[in-house]
Order: sequence, then C-alpha cells, then structure tokens
Amino acid sequence: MIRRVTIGLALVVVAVFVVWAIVPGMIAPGEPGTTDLLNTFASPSWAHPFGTDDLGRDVFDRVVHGTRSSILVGLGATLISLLLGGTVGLVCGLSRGWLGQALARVVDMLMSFPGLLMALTIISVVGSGSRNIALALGVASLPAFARLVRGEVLRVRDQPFIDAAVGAGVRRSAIVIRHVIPNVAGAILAFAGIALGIDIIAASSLSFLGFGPALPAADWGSLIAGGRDSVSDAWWITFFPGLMVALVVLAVTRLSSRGGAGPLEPAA
Amino acid sequence: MARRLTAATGLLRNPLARVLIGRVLAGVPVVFAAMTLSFMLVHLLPGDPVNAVLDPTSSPTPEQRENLRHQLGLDGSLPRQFADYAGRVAHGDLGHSIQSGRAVSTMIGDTIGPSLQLAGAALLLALIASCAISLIQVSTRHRPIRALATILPPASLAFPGYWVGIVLMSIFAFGLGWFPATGADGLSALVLPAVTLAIPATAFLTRVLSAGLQEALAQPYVLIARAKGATPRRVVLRHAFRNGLIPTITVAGLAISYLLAGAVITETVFARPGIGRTVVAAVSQHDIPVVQGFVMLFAVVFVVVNIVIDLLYVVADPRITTGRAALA
Repeated sequence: MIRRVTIGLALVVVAVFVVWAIVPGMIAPGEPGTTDLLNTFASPSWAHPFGTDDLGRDVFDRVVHGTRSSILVGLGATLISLLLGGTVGLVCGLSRGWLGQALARVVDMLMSFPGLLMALTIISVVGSGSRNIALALGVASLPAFARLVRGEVLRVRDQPFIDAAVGAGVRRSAIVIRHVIPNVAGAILAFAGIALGIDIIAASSLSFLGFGPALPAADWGSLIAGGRDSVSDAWWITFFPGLMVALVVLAVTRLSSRGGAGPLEPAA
Repeated sequence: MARRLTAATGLLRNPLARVLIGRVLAGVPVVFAAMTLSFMLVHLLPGDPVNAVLDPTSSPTPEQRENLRHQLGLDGSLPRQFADYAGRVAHGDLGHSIQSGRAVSTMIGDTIGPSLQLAGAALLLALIASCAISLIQVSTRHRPIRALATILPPASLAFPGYWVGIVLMSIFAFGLGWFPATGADGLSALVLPAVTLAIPATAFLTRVLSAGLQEALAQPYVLIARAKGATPRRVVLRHAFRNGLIPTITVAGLAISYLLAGAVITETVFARPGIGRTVVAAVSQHDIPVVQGFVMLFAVVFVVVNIVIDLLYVVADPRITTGRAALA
C-alpha cells in the first residue's frame, strides 16, 4: 500500500517537472529575469510562492524556467554513459581474449577516481556550459556502467539458451542483439534511473561551482550559487531550488527501483 | 650479500611486510594509469590545448604560443612528451601553475592540510553515525524508529551536498548562532562542514554496515551465543557487530577519496581554506598542470589508503594473510 502511494507520488512529481521543463511559460508566464527593485527579498507569499531575490526577481519563475536545463543535463550525461559505458562493457564481457581483460582492468582503475574529480578534470579542458557538463559527467560515470554491463553480460553469456542459439547456428551479432542485450537491459535501465538522479545532483553541483550555463540563463545549481551570499537574509532563494533537485531525484530513484514489475525485466 | 639475502627472505616471511610489499607493487600501475590519464587528457580532447589556456581575446603572438607550448611540455613527439612528463613526475616535479607560476607540488602541500582535516573529521562522524544507525536498525523493537533508521540514510542522498551545507549554515550559524558560518578558526568552524560532508558518507557506510550486521546475525555462532544465554546486547555488540564491521573498513577507506573530492564543494560553500578553492580556480582558468597535479594526488591517496586498509585487515584478522598468500 505504502509502495503504491510513494510510486504514485513519484509519478506526479515527475509529471509536474516534465510540464515545467516543456512549457515553463504556461506555469510561470512572466519573464524569469524581470527585476522589481521595490520588491527585493520578499519572503514566500501567494504572489511569490518561493519569494523574491536580491533584484526582486520571482524565485518560483526562475526555478520553473531552470527546470529544463537542470534535467536535460542530467539526462544527457546518463545517456552518454549508458551508450559509451554499455558499449565498453559489452566488448569487455563478450571478448574472451586480451582485449576484454585489458579493458576490464582499465575500467577498474578508472573506478578508483571520484566521479566529481574526473568531471572537473574534463571541464578544465573542454570548458564550462551545460553541454560540457553533460559530457564530463557522462564520461565520469562511464566506468560504473561498463563494469555493471560487463558483469551482466558475463552472467548471461554462460546461460543455456545462449549455447542453444549458438548450437542452432544463429549468427554472433544476432545472438548479441536478440539474446544478450534484452537480458541485460533490465538491470542496466534500473541502474540508469539511479544514475540519472546522481547525474542531476552532480550537474547542479558543477553548476553551483560556476561551471554551468552562462548568465543570465540559470539552472537550479546556479540559482543556489546566486542566493548563497544573501542566505542570512533570505533563505528561500537557495532553499527552494535545492528542494526541487531533491524532489526530482527522490522521484526518479523511486521509479527506477520499484523492481521486478517492469516489462523489460526478464521473468526469472 | 648473503646476509642481505637472508634479511630479504626474512622480510618476506613476515606477513605484514609481505602484504605491504605486495600492495605497494600493486599501487604502481594505478599511479601509472593516473599519470597516463592526466597526460592523455590534454591530447585526447578536441582542439589545441594551447588555445584552451590562452585568452582568446588577447590575440597571442606565435612566440607566445610556442613558449606556452613548451611550458606545457607539448613540444616534441608524443612518446617523447610522455617520457619527459613521466620522468618529471617520478622526481616529484608536478610542473608549475600557468596562472601563478607556483610549483604545483607546493600548491598541493599548502592546501591539503585543512582538506585532510575536514575529510578525516567527516569520516569519523560518518563512522560513529553509521554504527549508531545500524545498531538501532537491528536492536529496536519500535517500528517507526526502525523505519526511520532504514529510510532516512538513503533518502538523504537525494539532497545535494552543497545545498545541505547552506541549509545547515542558515539554521545553525545565522539562525541559532551556534557555529561560525565560514572560515577555519578552531574546532567550532569545522563542525558544520564536517557534518555536511559526513551525511552522504553515513548513508553509504550504514548500508554496508547494516548488511554486514544482518548477515552476521544469521550466522550459527549467533544462535549458539543466544543458546548459551548471552543477553541480546552482548550478542549484537560482541558477536555480530565485530564481524559485521570488517567489510565496513574497506568502504570507509574507499570513502576517503570521495570525501576529499566532496571537500572541494563543501569548502566552497563554507569558504574554508583547502584544496577546493585551488581546484575550482584551476578548472575554471584551464590551469592544466595544476589539475594534473591533483589527479596524481588522488591516485596516490587512493593507493596509500588501500595499503593502510590491507594492513588493518592483517592486524584485525590473521586468516587474511594466508588467504592472500594462497591467491598470490
């Protein structure tokens, strides 16, 4: 019962954020950057549910308009690590020769570096901005995906139905596409959901550190960075954007960890 | 000569020394990989790194470009560059900052102290908190409390660390005035950053520790201890907890790298001195030698921590030496 309620809530949260991301103008019709110097640091009210900031800008408007880039960066990063890490893991798991072994060792070594450090290192070369954050985070969590996919492939590879397919003379590529990938997809996609949450947090952290989109565009991380200096007068400027990060991460994680019932989950 | 040989074989018979030597040797490829990685970093990524470093608005002269190229060690053939770089790193020379001209090793040495202090304090807090939480999980009969102890740690991971820091700051520094909001004066200034950094670490450690505890509680020796009439407290603390703690040592050690990386953000939030400011400035100014230096630092920390963990294992559990020898 509680499970159902939390999953329902998670769906509602995700739906709200999807609407915010696609049509922010419908929810917050004003220009998000409109300043109102007579109304600075207004605490949350009906007119300004999340209050206003140091220039009198409505925090709710800015949060709604920052939804798209905040979530897209995380999605992009997860997609990159899913595709690249998945490919590397597949090669690792399928190759019985030195290539698989060598790649697996490289992946293990990369795992010893904190993702944040790796992402910062990449940003130091490619520069800041949403696209580069997605690239940096995608590469940073590539090893985790590669390791998981490798493990799953190794698990599936020795199953009897693979032997049966080989025995029936199915081509190698067809075995990989029709038999291996569908059987590892469930676990990988569940992990991708968790990774999406981690990537959204990491992207907002990098944006908080000042590597996010250029001003005046603002995602949730840079909104928090902007409100940090006035946190003693106006807690709401930093509080609400961070709460949105937490809500979206909680919802995404809840949906991805509901387990066994997904259509992609193999009936075990 | 003969005496040296016997001394060497004697050293090899000592299990502690054998593990130590093995781990130091095993650490070499990790450090080498980090070196290769930070070397390749500059070359693998698209575009000329000299362009990334130079200010595009200043329209540099060809000489300036060549000077910088030389300064970055980017002239000569690739294998030549790599050999030069490896040789310098092996001598402890991590190069010089492009922005300030200071030696990278000095920059690390000057800033690492407060960061290690912060990471260490956070690790200690996280260990204490995760022990308390997982003991509550297995020993309380009160269902709401147990549910809370089970749900809260993983849920806390959804909250961005820097935001938790700001919220703690606005409650405990600006609201209640218990701790200073920023700076690094004394122990009271360490409390809020350390708590901020400890929260996600607590979540990870709790997961490992409570899994270890639950597994230990299902073992036959727990049943025997109960049958002998040991009190529930004694069963949990004396029998299950000590055994459940072993996997936690590994995770706690691995957590140090992550805590140090997390310190970069926490230090920014609380305006604390440490590696954070240096790393963030280096990244935003494309100061690649400094970034490479920190990559090397993390590799060395990782290797050293792993050696310490393995030595702790040997001290804690004599069975491990024999098992490892059989594997090797």
